[in-house]
Amino acid sequence: MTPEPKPNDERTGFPGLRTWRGVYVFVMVIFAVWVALLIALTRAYS
Amino acid sequence: MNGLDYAILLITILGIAAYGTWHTRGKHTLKTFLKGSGNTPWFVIGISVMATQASAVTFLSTPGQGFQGGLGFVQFYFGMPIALIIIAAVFLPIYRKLNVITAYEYLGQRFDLKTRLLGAAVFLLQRALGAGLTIYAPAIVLSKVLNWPLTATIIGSGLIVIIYTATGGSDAVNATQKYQIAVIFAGMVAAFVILVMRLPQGLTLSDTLTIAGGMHKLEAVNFSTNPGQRYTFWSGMIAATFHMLAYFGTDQSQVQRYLTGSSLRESRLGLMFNAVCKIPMQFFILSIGVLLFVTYQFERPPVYFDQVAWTQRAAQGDAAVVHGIETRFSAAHELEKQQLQAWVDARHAGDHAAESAARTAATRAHDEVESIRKEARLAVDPRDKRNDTDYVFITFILDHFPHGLIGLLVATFFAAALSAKAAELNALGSATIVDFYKPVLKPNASEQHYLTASKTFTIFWGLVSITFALCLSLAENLIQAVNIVGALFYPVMLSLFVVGFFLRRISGTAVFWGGLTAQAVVLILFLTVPDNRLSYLWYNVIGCFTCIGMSSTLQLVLKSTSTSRPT
Repeated sequence: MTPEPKPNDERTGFPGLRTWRGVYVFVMVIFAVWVALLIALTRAYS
Repeated sequence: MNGLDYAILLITILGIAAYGTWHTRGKHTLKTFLKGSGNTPWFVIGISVMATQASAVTFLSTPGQGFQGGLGFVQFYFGMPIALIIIAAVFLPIYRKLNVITAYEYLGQRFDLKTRLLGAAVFLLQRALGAGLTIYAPAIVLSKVLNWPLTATIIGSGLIVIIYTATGGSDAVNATQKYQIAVIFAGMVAAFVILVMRLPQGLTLSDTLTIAGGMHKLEAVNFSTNPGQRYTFWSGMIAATFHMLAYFGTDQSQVQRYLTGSSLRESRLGLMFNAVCKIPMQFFILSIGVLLFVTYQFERPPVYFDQVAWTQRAAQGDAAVVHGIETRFSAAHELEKQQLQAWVDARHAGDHAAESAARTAATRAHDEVESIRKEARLAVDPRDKRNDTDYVFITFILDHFPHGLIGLLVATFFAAALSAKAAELNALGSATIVDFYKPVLKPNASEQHYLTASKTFTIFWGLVSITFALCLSLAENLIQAVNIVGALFYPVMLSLFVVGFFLRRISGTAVFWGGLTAQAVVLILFLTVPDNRLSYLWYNVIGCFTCIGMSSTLQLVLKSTSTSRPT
């Protein structure tokens, strides 16, 4: 049996991130990296 | 500015506005005017959301913020990725499922007409104020430094945006914002490159960062728990999340942008584009301010950047005071420059003891320079309410940039003003027609009548914002003033939606009075508690929880009243 195709809106269009939850986690990881870099910058030059 | 600068400015601004009008010719139905043609791809949505938020104030004032306060303002944007994910996951599917044009239609469907009208009325009030600021902010700075008449600058830029927004509607806003943001980025990248190239000779990137860090300009993250401190990690993560939720989730000027997407997927990706790009973008703009700071340590800056106000002060009969401040400032700045050079030389020589001593001496000299600058500020305004940081970037541009590039940078500020204002007028016109005119004032008119009324209301709000801009006078740093106006009204807007989405048992009457109570609490806090004890960002949290608490309590009272009533 082949699974039913997902409705258009549920597809993210990214090969590695097939669910929206995956996209949100990806965005939060990028955010966390930015905050970590900003903290590192603050500590390095304070 | 010379002829080349004016040519670049006029061609860029009028060209984009004319394109917006031409691009949308003949596409005139009520739905396309309010909501666009419904085939906007995610990238254009992302750009449009970004251009709507980033007004001229962002590009004119944020470098000044970086110059004065360093990178700390970036923390204001920490709440944005979290807020945009909540909107993409919760708010957006509901808006699209209900096929609404304005966010406030949701309130009508979930609660009742009075709650919808409350949400829409608060939006119209705060956005009309915001639209006035959007047009006033760049006009006041540019008219002063370029010696243009303020009234003509406000009216001229206001009329350009009214014309293409009233003729082309939502599609014209999207079409023009693409090109406006391209001009904006070209201008800001050019400014960054020139600043890096103009760093004093012998100063490496590492030296630049060390000096900026030594003067506390690279403190990007601050973990202080003091609620009076505006920008901290905690206010960014908690209070700013509420602020961003309100702005992106319930402010029609933003909701209208992402509802133009051809599908839920396109709208979500447009929001995620901003969730990823906004923090680096703000960091980049603040970095321009930090570079300006380091450059001005080696090159004498004006003692007061609003030079028109400074010259007027001298002309008012206090020339001796002004001259005294200028002389002492020159001496203090020269001393600071020498100490900084000694610091850099000691670094290059690897002499840690000399480096430490020179750093202490340079910091002391910098404090002296800052105290003279404060004296100059007090000489201009003894109440210390005026701020010259908004003039830092434009002063540097006019003094150091080649002709042609000056025109491009001034075009950048105008493009940003027009892109944000167009989205605001489009949203103001839409909310008036969809939430007030159609359901309350004239329910059964023809589509053509509503289309004409939409255009008329767009023009009306454009004229209201111009009038408001003509009456304004600001003390705050411009970008902070815009955010403060939002924080006064966003709590009630957000709380109506939060209750609607997450507290299913609360009815329209309870949330209506809860919302009004929250608005009263926020206004009382604003008027009675000084900003250094409670930063404006926290109004969003306090207002939202006040509404939730009040409406939950009222709901219990209403429920017990209805159950005890004899049937």
